[in-house]
Amino acid sequence: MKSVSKFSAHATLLGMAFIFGILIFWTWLSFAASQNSPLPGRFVDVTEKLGIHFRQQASATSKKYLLETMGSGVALFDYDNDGRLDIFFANGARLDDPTPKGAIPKKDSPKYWNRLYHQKSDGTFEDVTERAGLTGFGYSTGVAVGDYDNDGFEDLYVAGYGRSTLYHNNGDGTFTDVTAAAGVAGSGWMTSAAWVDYDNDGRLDLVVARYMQWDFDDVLCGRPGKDGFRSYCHPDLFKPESLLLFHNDGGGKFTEVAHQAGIDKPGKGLGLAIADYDHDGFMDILLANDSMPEYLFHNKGNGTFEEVGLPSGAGLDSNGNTFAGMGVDFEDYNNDGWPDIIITDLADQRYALYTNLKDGTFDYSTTVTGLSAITLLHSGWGVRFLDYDNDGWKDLLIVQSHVIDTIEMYDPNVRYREPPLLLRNERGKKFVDVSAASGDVFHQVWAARGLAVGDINNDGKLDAVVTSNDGPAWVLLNQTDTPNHWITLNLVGVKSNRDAIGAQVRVSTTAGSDQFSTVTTSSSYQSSSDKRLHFGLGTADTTREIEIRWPSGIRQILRDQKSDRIVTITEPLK
Amino acid sequence: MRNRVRNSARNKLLCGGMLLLSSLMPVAQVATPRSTASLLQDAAQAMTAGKLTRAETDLQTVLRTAPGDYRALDLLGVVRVLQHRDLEAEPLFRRAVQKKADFAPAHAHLGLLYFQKGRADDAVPQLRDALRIDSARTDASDALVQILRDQSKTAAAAGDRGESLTLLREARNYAPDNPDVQFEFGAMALQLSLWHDAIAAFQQTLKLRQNDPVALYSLGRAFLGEWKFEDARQQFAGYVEARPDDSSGHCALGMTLAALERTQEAREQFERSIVLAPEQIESYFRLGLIELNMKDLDEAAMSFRQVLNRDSKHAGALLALGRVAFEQKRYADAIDLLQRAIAIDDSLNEAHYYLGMTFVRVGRKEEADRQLEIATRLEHDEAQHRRTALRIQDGDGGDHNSDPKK
Repeated sequence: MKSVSKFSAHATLLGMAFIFGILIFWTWLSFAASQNSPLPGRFVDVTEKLGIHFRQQASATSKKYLLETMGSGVALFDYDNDGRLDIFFANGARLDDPTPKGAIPKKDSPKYWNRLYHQKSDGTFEDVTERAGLTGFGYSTGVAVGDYDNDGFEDLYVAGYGRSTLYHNNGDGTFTDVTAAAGVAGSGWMTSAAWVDYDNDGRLDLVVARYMQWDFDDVLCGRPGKDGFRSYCHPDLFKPESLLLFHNDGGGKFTEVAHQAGIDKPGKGLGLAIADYDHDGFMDILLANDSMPEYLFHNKGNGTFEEVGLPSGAGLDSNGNTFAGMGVDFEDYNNDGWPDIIITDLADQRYALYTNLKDGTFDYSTTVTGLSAITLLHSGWGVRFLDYDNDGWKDLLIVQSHVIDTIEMYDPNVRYREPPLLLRNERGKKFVDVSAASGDVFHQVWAARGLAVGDINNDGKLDAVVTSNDGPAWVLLNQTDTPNHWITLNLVGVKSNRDAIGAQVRVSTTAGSDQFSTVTTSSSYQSSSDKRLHFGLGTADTTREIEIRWPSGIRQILRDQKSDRIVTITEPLK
Repeated sequence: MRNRVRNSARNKLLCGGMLLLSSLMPVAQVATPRSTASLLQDAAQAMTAGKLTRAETDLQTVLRTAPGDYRALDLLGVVRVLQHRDLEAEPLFRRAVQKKADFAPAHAHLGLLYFQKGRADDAVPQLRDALRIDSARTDASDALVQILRDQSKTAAAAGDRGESLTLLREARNYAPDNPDVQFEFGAMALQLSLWHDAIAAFQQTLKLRQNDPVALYSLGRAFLGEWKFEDARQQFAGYVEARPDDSSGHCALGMTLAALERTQEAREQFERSIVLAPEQIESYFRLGLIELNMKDLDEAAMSFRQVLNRDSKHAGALLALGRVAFEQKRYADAIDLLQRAIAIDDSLNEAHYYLGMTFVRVGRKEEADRQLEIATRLEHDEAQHRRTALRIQDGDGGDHNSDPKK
């Protein structure tokens, strides 16, 4: 009996070992399969279905004014605090052909209006532009969302050519143009803008990028002669322009302090992003410049900045060359706790990915991460790191198009209209192009420009809104088929600015590596994204720890938060 | 070679006489036996039959009654050339030209005579005149093209590549179906970085002489100059297929594949090139660049050392090895290597850039600022230069400020 039992035990052990072996083999097979064929996304165009009918008016002329190819941005934000994201589109204006030098274009027809779409409870949208008082002024370019007066309602800054506009959210579905009183009209060709509390005084300040010194001059660029054609001029023909920094003095007043703050180095700014890249507790500013070195303004913590793009290694590509920096994001793609940089540019330049080396410097990682091979022939504008499949690694969504609509006459290998690009992050080491299998939208060619990201239907998957130059907008709903868990954090500042812009968050789980993110509405190209922080949690249904470093310096830790929900976290008093 | 060409010029003179004979035919059919026309006809026939004395008699008869008859003067000139009495031929042709300035045969014969005598500068205007009047004269065009090609080579040897290209451009106009002329034009355009012109010329060469390996290779190089890497790759692939044992073909194909980010294929081509020609430098260098960009730093360093073992003053390899040292945080080595690279070639903006960044890392701020300033200035100048070159190619000096390759 004993021997039988012994034999039986032995057989059981053998059987268990066999089953265990099969399990290991199956796991290995699954792992190998996942390595060979990364999970694509599934983004679906629901624009029509949701009732969005926006079309950006570039007002193309025979003169090929550069303004008419740069597009306008988009914002995803909840203006009425109903918990659902709304959409604001910036729009162009009428350009005469020719337009006189010194002219400020006008929105003299409803087709040029900026548009606010309110999301209704059924998930569809209604155009509330007129009622909200947001029809706009002039040729609008960028948009930045931030609650500058900490009243709990998101305000809007709409950048433009010649004049920008600050709209105060009245909290009743309407906005008031407070530009003059606030002193933030600016001047010149303003592009992207970003709200950031650079001095941590609890009030959001405003940074506004300017492209260059430009006017409606009749400059002939392109191919001359009988068979010639006009093209948009190269930015080298125009002088650079400094950005603007409006310090929020409180009481609805701002003071322009770019010079005093040492941030007035002339550039050709298109994209803006913020992050604390050196963990000194103060937000730094990244400016994507077109065809000149990229600028990284290091916040010295005393109200002034130092431009360190070149010495930090984030100013040029690995060959020491400039590129046409356009869109930008400033997030931690490799989950090491330090913000990295992505900048889109033109074909033959390759999108620039800079990995933060944690010592104040960056490494150009475009080739080693596979981005070089993927982006060689592409031209990108709006760009965001986003974890589309909630696996805990920030992927990349990039919208694309060349800047010159006649590019195919110069270079048959390059296209003006391009499909968007979805790149899956392979554990912070590589990016893999999963566009082709991620939905029909990745097979459509667009002259895309702006991109904003946010969870439009609050289903735990990040969606996107894309604008195009002289064309429609698209709402892309993320329907990626994944069992992965997620958590979205809506931070509310008390001592810090109410939007908590600049708050740095670490999320850890038992399943994967820690993740880091910074609250911001800026980045991408002339666009503003949902301020809520989204984290994919993989297989973890609970977070182990959420650590928040508020701009005020307060550190907060939350443990064991359930996944698959939106959590509002208010800044503690200390 | 040149004598052979000149002898052929003498034969062409005879052909010219025959051409004249055929042009006189209709006149002879309607004229009386001893008319001027029939005498000219008779002279031409005698000339082609080698009866030069009879031809001369006929022509002298015409000239006695009509001393200014340009046709007789021209034919008598041809007779004199065939009699090897060139000194007497020249004034006859000149008189014919004076009598009738738009008489193409006389211009052609005078030009050919000058060419035969080695007086190319005198020959060119006569041959041009002949072709202006009668563009179908192959005797004149062949000679003129030959002269222009010779002059082009002389100009190139003297360092005047612009003049050389101009001469070949004219030769190409007279001989658009001559693959040698097309190729020579393309090669000179390539030397002048006139990629667009070079591409058109090599493509024409390949139309006239299909699968010519040298033209394929040259076309690939021209496409590289225009950053048309896929087009270049196709040409080099064709070249490698035609000449699989030529290491330079594999190297060039590797370069285009590397530019197209087809890194593994590029690596294979460089390795093949090295197997075929182990003593070379370029493939080691290119292989090293791939390894450097992929952060295989030890491998990259080995490749660059192979280059420096063969050429210790290879600025590119010193720069690249300096970059390796920078990435490995061996800053003292990086400074040494990058400074050596700059000492050899101070126009390397990349070397200044990495030297500047290295100085930043070791706290030498002023030197860093200076190097970074030089790097950005050089880079800007280079970008401007590239745009200007594109502008010249594309619009012959016109505005073209929208260079898509920013």
